[in-house]
Amino acid sequence: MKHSALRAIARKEFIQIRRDKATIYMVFIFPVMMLVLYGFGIRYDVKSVPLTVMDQDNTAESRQYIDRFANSPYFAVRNYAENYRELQKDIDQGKSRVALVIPANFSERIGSRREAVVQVIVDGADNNTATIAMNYVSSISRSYSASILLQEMEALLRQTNLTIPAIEAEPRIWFNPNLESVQFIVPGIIAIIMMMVGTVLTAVTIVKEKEQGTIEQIVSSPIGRYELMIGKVLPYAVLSYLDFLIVVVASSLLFGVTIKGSLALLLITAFFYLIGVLGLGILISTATETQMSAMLTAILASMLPSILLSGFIFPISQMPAFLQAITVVVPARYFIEILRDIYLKGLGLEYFWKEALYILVFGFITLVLAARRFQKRLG
Amino acid sequence: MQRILKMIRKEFIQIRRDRGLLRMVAISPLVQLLIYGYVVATDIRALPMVVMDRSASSESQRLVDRFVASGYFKLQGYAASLSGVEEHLNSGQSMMALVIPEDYARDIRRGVVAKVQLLVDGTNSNTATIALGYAGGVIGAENAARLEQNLQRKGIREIEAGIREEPRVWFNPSLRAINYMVPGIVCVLLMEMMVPLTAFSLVRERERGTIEQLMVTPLRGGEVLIGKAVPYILIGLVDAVIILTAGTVWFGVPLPTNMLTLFVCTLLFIVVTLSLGILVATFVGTQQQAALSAQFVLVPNILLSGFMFPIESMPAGMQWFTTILPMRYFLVIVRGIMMKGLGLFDLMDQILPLAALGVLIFSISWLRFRKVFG
Repeated sequence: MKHSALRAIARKEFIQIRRDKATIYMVFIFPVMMLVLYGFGIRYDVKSVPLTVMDQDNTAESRQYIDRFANSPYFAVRNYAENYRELQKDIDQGKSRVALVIPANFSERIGSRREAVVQVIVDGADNNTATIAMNYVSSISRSYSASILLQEMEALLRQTNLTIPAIEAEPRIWFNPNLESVQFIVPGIIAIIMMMVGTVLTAVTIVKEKEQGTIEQIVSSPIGRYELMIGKVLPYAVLSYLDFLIVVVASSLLFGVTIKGSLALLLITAFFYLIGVLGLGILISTATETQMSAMLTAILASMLPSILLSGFIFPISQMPAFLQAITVVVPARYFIEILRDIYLKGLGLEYFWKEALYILVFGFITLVLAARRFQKRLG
Repeated sequence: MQRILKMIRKEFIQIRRDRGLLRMVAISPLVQLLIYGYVVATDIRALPMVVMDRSASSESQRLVDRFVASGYFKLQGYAASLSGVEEHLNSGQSMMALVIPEDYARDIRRGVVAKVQLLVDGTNSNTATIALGYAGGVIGAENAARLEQNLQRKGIREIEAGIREEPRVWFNPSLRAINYMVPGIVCVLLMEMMVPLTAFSLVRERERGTIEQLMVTPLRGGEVLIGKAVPYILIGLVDAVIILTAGTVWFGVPLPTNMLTLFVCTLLFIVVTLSLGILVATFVGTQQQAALSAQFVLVPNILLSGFMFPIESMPAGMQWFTTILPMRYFLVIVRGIMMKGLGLFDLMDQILPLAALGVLIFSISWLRFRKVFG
């Protein structure tokens, strides 16, 4: 391998990138945007479910019951409907997701210690929110029922020396005691952004030479193919790794996310991951002819699996078997596991050496495959 | 008209020659449908859990059984010591541990509050919250059963007072996740395909210098734009049809009854996404830049539009920000048509802002297009 040739190609690429201020800005802003969106924007818990109430009873008791909804963080009362048509319109148009209908005999039945039936209408379109909202309704109703029951039974219970509840659970949350979502998304963002810069941009930049025909000029020059490949990729390797560092620093400055484990291990495993990321980018560039299809292929083959099949947000144990099988070849899966071990659990190499080894092997294989195909395509 | 047709033909020839692109146009919707359909659209169940039962009594066994029987938890094994529990959580083999203390059975029998410990792996705060909710439900059920038992033993009749809810689930009575997901995937895919493709096809002309050639032809700016847009509008429609067909055939999602409304609204959304693509193209000089800057449009639209995470749970500032995202309105429209059977007039409060946003985006991008490409 000729070092001078390698240096010349890398230099050409660096000059091209340096002239391209827009790309540099974007490469540096992108990780910060992702952090802010994932960190501040998304809430994984369901809160303030919009609620329409139709109170046909209109008594102190019914209002007391409604107040429990109004005061709960889980519901936001949007409207007090006069009739069914109004209620239906609210649900149809998505103004409310849940409607509560309190019958005219509510207070009478409660007062006479009989069961009162309320109707709960749920917009089931979003099945997930619907299920959670129904659970919220049940628990509010249950606690309201319990308060009535308690009044009634207090004397009795004191006589008989019984406690309610019988069992109490003491939850302890490990690794991320305040359940901050930023803590858990940082590893995912690192894996995704390195793919974005390392795979997508690499694939596009190599294909660009093909598309514009400039690759012939380079191939006909005394530069060898490996030098060409490495030289083209090197600047994106640097950018991709820089983006990783930006996320590490920005998450610590903006969100106070700290690394519990070893920083050195973090830096090294990120480097392993980088090799595979770049190899994947080169592989994709050999399979596509235009920048447009290179980008679409790269997004489908690298970004999408890294977001959805890596356990980043959606746990792998919950996927159907055939998708679990596919996740085995997604490097982001192992990288995110390592990052979580280091970031949140503060564990050492003895817990994730297998994953680290896998990433390294993955990187090696993709790079070898990429190099062979790269040669064939141009030769 | 003749000239526009020529331009459309040229664009089609270019697309047809790009085998990789055609492959992606066909494969991308199917892959995304499968992944989103099976990953995002699943309920969390069978969370792996480990038990450390120091009570080893029939009482403690009953609690463990209740956890397993709920279906929300899957017993991975028993740990003899705290270090065993730690090993389970560290390695990720289990995500929750139930620790039952020695005096659990004694406390239950004496009628004293018995305490158990739940150790939850909080690395995925989302799953952890859900697991805690499930565990609370299981323990609540055990409590209710114990209380009833105790009362019966003491000869007290339970009082039937209180509230019973009668739930009615509208629109998606079986609460199938995939029914909700498929309309969302239509939106995501259109966004993901249209914005970058339009931007790329315009920037490509500039990058290769062919835009000058186009400009010296008698074609006017508007004609170039229409000629470029039509093929991509068709691609968008084809992809929408692929998703709807596959969603119906494979996942059994009911087809919308109001096809015409769906078609009109989809066309409107495609025009909006095309305008976004044109806008992106006017800001960048190379396709590589286009690839990056398209992400700045796509990521917020996909994350904050309510596709996966409901808008009303977001902080107020972000909720306000979502009003400028076209996908937010189109999501409500597609879901409204497909799941609620709504018509054009029911959806006006979504269609109007989407159209207004479209006019705004198109005007800006048209002005910039004339300045940059003219």
